[in-house]
Amino acid sequence: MTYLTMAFLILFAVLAILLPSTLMSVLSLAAVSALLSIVFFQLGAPVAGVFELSVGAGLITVLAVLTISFIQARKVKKQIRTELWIVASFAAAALFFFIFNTLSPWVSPSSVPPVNWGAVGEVLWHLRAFDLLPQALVILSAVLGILVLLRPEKGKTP
Amino acid sequence: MSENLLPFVFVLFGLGLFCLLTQRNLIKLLVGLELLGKATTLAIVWSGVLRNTPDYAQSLALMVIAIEVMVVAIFLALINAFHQKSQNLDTDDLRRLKG
Repeated sequence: MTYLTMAFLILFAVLAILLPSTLMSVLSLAAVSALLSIVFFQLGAPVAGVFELSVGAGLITVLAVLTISFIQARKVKKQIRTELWIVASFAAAALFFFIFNTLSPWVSPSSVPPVNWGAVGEVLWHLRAFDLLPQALVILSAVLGILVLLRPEKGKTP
Repeated sequence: MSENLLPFVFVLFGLGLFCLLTQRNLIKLLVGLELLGKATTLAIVWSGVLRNTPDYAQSLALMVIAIEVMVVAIFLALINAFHQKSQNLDTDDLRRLKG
């Protein structure tokens, strides 16, 4: 059953590369993340699955969509056919429902092997406490870098 | 766990590499980078399952995902800054930043 999930994952990865619209590409990437989290659950790695779902399918998608919307706001707005978007949205929703409905029997709680949730924290805070600090520093420096990149130019208001 | 996910890891990694090498839109490059990261995360988790050390593999995967989101955030900030300068997302225009 993991193979079926992976096949869908590869399909959405191909779509993410080939779709001409950047927004659709990012949304396909979010689907890849969601399917990858299902694979993690199937492999018995629910902590990584939850993290992938919240960060990969959630945070990264929100950041990317926000950036695309900022960029498109600066362009001259094109006339978009509303009916086409409504039909496309319903088609995408139906496709997602079909995929998750197909896969859901294999990600039910009984099919996932029992996992000791505290064990991952034990590894992180005890065994890997040494490299956790540099990681926090990397994240802090990345946040500072983003702040520098997004600061308004002199003479311009944000 | 009897599934062999190695071919899928390679396909996903190959797709990410293909995207990085062929696309010129910066958002598409970000997608390629993300696919590479996802292939790596999958390889880490799967190797942990194979070696029966899922907790250690998951802790590594968490770190990879955390760093990945930072890379994405910086990349998006760079895209935003680049678009403010050049009004497009084509990587060919990045040559203008030389010097």
